[in-house]
Amino acid sequence: MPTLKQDLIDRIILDAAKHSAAVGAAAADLEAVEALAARLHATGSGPEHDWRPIATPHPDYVSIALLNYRLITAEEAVAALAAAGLEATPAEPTRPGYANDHSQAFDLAGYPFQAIVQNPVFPVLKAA
Amino acid sequence: MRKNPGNANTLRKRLIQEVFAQTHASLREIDAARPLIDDTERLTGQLNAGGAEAGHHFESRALLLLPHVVFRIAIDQPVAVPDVLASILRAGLNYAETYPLSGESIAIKLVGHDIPVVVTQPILDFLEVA
Repeated sequence: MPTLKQDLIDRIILDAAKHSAAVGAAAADLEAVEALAARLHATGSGPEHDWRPIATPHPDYVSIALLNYRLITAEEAVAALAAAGLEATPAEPTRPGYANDHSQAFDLAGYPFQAIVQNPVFPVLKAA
Repeated sequence: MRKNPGNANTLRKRLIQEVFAQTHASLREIDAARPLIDDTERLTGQLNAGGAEAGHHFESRALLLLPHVVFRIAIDQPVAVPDVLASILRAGLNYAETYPLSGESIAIKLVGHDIPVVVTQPILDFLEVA
């Protein structure tokens, strides 16, 4: 029977191995989200183009999203995504933690992760 | 999935670095907790000696709440808490208080130790009477 210390070390190493494997399995998606962020930056200089790739490893998967923290409208987000060749459809956030109650998430055609405007503003507020 | 072969995949590297950093932090935490680990195993042995007469079996447990580790000594048998308290006294230890945990479990605080004894299947008094 392993000692308590050995058992703990085994569990930590196993946990790290699972996380690393999850990151390895998500390599293509991680690469894609980075490339998309770079493409969005390249297509314009406004806040609606300021998208950041974000990812969090878990034992069995990696949470991935494209986040925009700037005060933009959902319409501006869709337009910026479209300018970069992305078809965005409003959707409920699929990964808890990246969005709050006010956030607007978008499914991106062809990609398994979402674009999220964390604090979207309404057009009328933006105009004021 | 569209591939972007020219991308450096810095996000992947950063995540791997985070996993390694977390692992190192956890291993350091275990090293720092060594006195507590030793105390948990020693107390478990002592409790098993004290509980042998009643057929009580205690086990050392560690909950990984990374990067922290929480220790406890569990008894998973369906037992009445007063019987466990008697085993604790026979083991030469003393208890300060009992308190409920989530679920049905009852924790027993040992005097002079930070590691609680947890009765995971306590038999309630009214059932004993019945």
